[in-house]
Amino acid sequence: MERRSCGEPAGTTALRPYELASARLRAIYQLPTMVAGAGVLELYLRDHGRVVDGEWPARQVVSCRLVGGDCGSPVATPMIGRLQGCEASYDEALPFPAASFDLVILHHTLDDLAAALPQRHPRQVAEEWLVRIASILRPGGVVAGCGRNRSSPRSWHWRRREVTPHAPEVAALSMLSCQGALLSAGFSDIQVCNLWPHPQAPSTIAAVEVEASRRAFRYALESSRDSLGVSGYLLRRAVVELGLNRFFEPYLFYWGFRSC
Amino acid sequence: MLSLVREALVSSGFVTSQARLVFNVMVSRGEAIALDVWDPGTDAWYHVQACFHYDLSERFASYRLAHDRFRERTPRPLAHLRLDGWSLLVATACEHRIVRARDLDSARRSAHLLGQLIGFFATARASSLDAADACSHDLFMAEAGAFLADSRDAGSALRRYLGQVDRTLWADIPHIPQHGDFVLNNLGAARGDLLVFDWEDYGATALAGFDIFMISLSVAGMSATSARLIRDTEDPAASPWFFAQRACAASALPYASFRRAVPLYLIVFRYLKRNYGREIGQRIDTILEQVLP
Repeated sequence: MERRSCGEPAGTTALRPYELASARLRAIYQLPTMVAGAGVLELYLRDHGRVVDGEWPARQVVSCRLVGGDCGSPVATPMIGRLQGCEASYDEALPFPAASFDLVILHHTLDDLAAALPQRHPRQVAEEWLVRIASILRPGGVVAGCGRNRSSPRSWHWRRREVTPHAPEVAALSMLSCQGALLSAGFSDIQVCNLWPHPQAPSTIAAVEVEASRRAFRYALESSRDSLGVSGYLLRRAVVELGLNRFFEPYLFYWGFRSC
Repeated sequence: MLSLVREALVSSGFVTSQARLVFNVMVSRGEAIALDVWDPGTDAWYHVQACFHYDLSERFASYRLAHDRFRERTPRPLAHLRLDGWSLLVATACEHRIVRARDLDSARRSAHLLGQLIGFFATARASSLDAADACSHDLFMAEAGAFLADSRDAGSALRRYLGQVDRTLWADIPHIPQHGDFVLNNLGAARGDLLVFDWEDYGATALAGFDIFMISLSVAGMSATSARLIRDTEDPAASPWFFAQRACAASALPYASFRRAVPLYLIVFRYLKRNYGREIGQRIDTILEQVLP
């Protein structure tokens, strides 16, 4: 034998690090920044599954639920480990000092805010909130989030559901408007990606720059080729080569850095 | 973590500190995060594996050894760095598509891919171990047998087989370092040429024929029925693993010995997959229970 077994983990029953969908979700939110020793804030309205938990590698971890109306004075309450929970009103200014976090997580948050404020255009809501978030980030801090892609054909389904009061599903931003909203809020080093198969169980994020996007979608298409007929394959191949998948994919993942 | 990937590429001299990098990221169920990194300024692509949970230096050594031996069949490993608790392996990124069973089937008519596949086994044979390593099968099977016998998931057929297994079963099998996970998912085609990925288990076993068995099982379907058919079919010319006989010839392995070793190959498979989680372990255990005599 040329080499003995390497120093990789032993045992037949141990859970692999990214075996759970929640672990993969946390991993992609930890991509843009090194958060150890930093302050992390997750803002959410509806429960899409929390990204942060008591094990999140940061000094301060706050999970803040946004609610309508006046929710009184927000009080951070300990939850698990370093994790603190609080509520804040989305009708008022965010109850956090300026430049107090290094990472703000918006897991479906902009879509849910747009759904909660139906009298306003979703993009306006997203832009306004990105400006608010920039103000509570330290210089060099990161906003990272995910949401539905407004230019995806599935968005027509979501738009129809905007009128359904109990389960509104809104796509706040398209690939292009996401880039624009981050830029106009003052973020730099922006990256917008397509995410699949699903935000709750992600496996791949592919940058929307056309060369990078083509490469990722070519690979995904060829990997599923056996399940496609000839015409289905050729049509999808044409879409890939034209660089259109990035517009059509249902979910976006994005991040940007607050300028120093 | 992306800042560390950037730092690794800059400090290794692959990109400039001002380069704007674009990342495609895959977080699969394994231990490492895989990234394809594009430098639009130079139109260069790099493949990076990033792992926080263990050191990739042995994996890097395996990749280098494989590249030294198989050259254009493997991506070129470029660097390994440890930064801020992360282990980062950088290699050239080869755009490719996964080889499908259908591709190999069509290789019956097109000699190119088949020739490269058989050539791969011939190249592997050139790295046969010398007489000093001749006991490597004994060592490996003792290690694998001890581990599996202690496993609480080991079924009765596996325990019975391990209890009666002896070295005569592998005495005539050549000593050729094996890739270790030679399945369709780890084979790629780039402009028609064969590429082989995921070399982390390279050389873990030198039981010749194991890679041939794995690719045969992969094209036939990962099941006990397929394993039994591979074992029981004297002439595979009409089978999805039609290439196996030529591959064995390229490995100086009699085809009858290859077929007889199928239970051993399954045990090796189970042992090498011991860290791949319970689901995969149970799938192999099920096959073992149905195939072992």
